[in-house]
Amino acid sequence: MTTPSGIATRPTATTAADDDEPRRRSRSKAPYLFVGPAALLFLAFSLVPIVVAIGLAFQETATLGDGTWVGTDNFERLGSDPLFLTSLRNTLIFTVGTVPTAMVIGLALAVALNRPLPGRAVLRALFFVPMVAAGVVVGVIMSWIFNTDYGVANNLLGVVGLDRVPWLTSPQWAMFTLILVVVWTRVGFCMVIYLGALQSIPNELKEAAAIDGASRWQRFWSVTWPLLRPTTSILLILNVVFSLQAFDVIYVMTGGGPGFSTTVLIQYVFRAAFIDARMGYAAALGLVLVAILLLFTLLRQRATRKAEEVL
Amino acid sequence: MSRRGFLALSGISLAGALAACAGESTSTTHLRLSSWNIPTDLETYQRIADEFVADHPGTSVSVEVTTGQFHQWFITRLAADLAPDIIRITPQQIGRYAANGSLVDLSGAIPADYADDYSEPFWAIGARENGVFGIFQHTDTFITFYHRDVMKQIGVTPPSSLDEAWRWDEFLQIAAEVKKVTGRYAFGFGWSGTQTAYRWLPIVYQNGGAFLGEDGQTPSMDTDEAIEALEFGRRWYADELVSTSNMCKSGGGDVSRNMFLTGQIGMMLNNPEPITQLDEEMPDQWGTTYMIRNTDEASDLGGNALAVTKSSKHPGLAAELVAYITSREKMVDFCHEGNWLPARASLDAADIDYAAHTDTMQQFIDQGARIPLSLVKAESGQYFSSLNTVFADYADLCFLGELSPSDASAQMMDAMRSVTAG
Amino acid sequence: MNGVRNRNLGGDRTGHEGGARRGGRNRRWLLFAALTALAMLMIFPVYWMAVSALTPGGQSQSSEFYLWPSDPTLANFDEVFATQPVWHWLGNSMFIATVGTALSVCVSLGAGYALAKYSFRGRGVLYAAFLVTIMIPIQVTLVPAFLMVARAGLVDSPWAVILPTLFDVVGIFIARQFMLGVPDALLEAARIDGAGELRTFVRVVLPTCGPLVGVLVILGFMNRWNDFLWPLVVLQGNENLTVPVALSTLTNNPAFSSPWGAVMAVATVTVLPLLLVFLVFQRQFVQGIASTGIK
Repeated sequence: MTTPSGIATRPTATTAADDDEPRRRSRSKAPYLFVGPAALLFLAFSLVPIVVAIGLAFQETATLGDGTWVGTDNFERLGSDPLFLTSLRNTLIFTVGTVPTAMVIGLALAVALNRPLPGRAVLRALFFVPMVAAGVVVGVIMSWIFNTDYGVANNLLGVVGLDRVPWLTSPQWAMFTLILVVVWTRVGFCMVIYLGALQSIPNELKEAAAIDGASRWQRFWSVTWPLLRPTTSILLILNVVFSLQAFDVIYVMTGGGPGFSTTVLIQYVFRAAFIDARMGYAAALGLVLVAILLLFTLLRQRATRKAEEVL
Repeated sequence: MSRRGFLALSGISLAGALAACAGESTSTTHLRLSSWNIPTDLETYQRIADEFVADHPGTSVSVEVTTGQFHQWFITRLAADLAPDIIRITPQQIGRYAANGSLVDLSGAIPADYADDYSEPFWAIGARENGVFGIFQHTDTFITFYHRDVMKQIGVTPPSSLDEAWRWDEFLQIAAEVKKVTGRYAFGFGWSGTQTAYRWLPIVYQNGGAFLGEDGQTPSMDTDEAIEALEFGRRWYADELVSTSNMCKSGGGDVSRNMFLTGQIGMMLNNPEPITQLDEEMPDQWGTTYMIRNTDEASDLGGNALAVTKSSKHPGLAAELVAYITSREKMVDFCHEGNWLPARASLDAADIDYAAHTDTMQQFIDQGARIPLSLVKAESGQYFSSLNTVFADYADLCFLGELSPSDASAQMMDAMRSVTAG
Repeated sequence: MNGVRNRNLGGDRTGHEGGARRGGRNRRWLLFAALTALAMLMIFPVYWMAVSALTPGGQSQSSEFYLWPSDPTLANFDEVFATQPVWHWLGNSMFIATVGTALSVCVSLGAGYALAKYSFRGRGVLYAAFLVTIMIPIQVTLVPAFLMVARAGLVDSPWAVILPTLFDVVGIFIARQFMLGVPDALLEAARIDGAGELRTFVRVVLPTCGPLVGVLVILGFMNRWNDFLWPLVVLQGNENLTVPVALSTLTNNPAFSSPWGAVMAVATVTVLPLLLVFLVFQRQFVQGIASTGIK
């Protein structure tokens, strides 16, 4: 990138730090002191539990207490477990349904709310509101709103003269409704992050493009969008993580039903761990989830040099 | 290494907090009792426990609340040996923990005459071959609620004794008439979420079927009786007698109650809980009769037992407290305060002296006495939390019409077998 | 696609020629109306929560359409505040969120600074390891993580919630991105003046971090305020719970149905402070993000 934005300079800052090694060595204790608290906390509360969990994936723990080592049995069982395959497929649908949708709407809102508009601050805050509600409460409220028989959504449709929609009661609709609800919780976050990114784009750039006679749409694609790419990259990864780990709302609203239509992987991890008390199998399922995420992140990094620089 | 790092960190900044925590359990023997967060019950437990403490110098008891999803909470707590001494637990939850050594045998602390005052099914909730792992404190079951004016319009007089309870065919006929009156659906069923799927199992037993065989282990949802029961359930939805928003996995609490309150159904099979709200929103417009039945009788096994966990440092004392709370006198007290149904066979509605609806409460008590032993053994068995989820999955698919009753039965059996195989 | 592009092109040209100023203004009002409508839709569920809280029994349902309860009542609020330690819950949430956020921001700032501005042995591995942790589902690590805290004797103390969540990967990530943008020349100048490493950080780097701190505080506070699963396993006394965990004790009960009026009243009380915080600080927040590196 040769644009005179802040972004281009930041990656160079990293390389500058890398080149400067001899000078830094003399202060070699300092970085450890700065990163020390984080590293210790990471060790105690993240790494140790993760290592234990990885160990669990190779054990069988039908009841509480110590497990027995079973090698890769848990992983082999995954292949022949129809519920695993179903939940994997649903996870994919759910993620593909939520992530781009939330991001596109978030971006559109950010662009719109980046302009001078009456009541802009209030509007921004309103779009942000869904983020502050706890998952369990969102789940309950949404199951009421989308109840087929007495929910306000269908009552409203009735006033307009439309038929009732089986929002959560038909396997075909339930996933759609869940995606809708989760997008609702997430749009505000995407909007705010994009809004921040938009504001850091210097106006001169857009003005220059405008003088060149570019339309608003062209300006967006040729100037704004490329500059937003790192933001998009990060939002993409964060959103995928959020979607793969979305638990509360689904658990409360559909319990994975009707049938298996909304059973996603994280749901199944929970079920294996706590309903079936098969910690080993749950850990194996969890590791599959991590593997998917890692794979996704790596692919993402390969796909765009930009993302590599940012992450 | 990690532990040292962690301890160094906590040692420096948290000495004060740690000291505050540790200060509590030095001289007195302390017991913790965990209950569902129902304010009246918490008060009653604390009051009864205080009376117990008065008789046992040097002890203290605190009442806590059970948080989050039960198994997640309890398994985590047990793993760290930090579960409460005494736990209020449902019959459907108790099985795994009684079987895997997480609960303590109470036999030594329970007076010999306790078992005599319990029906065999209710005693079986906690009793196992190798000990007694819980005492049923209060029960809960399903009966039929109806809109008075709907019954009047279709000219039906609800049964006034258990023997006259509606048989399935009769019930379906009445339901068809009710549907005509409401213009929407006929009746509802009082599930509230996947974890309560088991509330439907009595229907299987009403037809002479069983969820698990006599040994309380072998899946038996492939019998003709069980498949007929699934067919019966499918008809609820196929004939649109029950709304598909009222299924075991539906979220948002008790859907049937809202359907009943909003007049979209004329009857509901449910437990005593809606009574308070019915009294507020439609006083005198509703009535109750017994649970439906077919060749056999059965209704939901609700309620709670008290058990002592292996985390307890004073299991003997904890067991004594359980015996104290479940004594006849304290059971009357507890059920009176919280409007619960007593678990002891010798107690009736008059003994409890309910504030209102004595007749309805007596109906519940009588209905509870008809819960079959085999259903109790199945629901309080070792694998029930998993089996319940399996049942929810396939009952859901069957009722929706995604699977035929016989296919649902076959697939349910497969999934159940893979659970019970360990 | 092409059609859209052309149409826009035409529209904009006229705009630039100044002939159709009014067209632009109309469009702005149209946009405003559309955004307002969408915003109404967005807050509707939260509004509905408040309506439920004001409805007797807490269940704002009916077979007919209505937007406002026919006889709103504060009874749900009165009852839940009288029978449950709601003020304790709010206080606990507030303490945990405030102290946790404050400490965690410090940890993230330090880590972000070290990862951005120093090169040291193991930096790459450490940072990669940090990032991987956001991918681990908590369901899998819940039990082992709890064992760590339990062995330290912290259970039921607010510190059991605060300590393990001090390590906040997203926060460290954001902090690092921001620190990458702090000019090296600034640091060199301070060092040439003889400032030590800590002094450089505190006197030179931190003063430029205002917006970063703003973002870390708001995101951190929000996450802690809504955090559920972890506080759920480490807290136990009813008076020691945080709000989301306390709500779960009202809805978790498999044997009895939930007091929805109480649930919705508490949920409403919980959302309002956060809403106000965002309303007041949204400008700083957005500007903060603009100058951090999440872009």
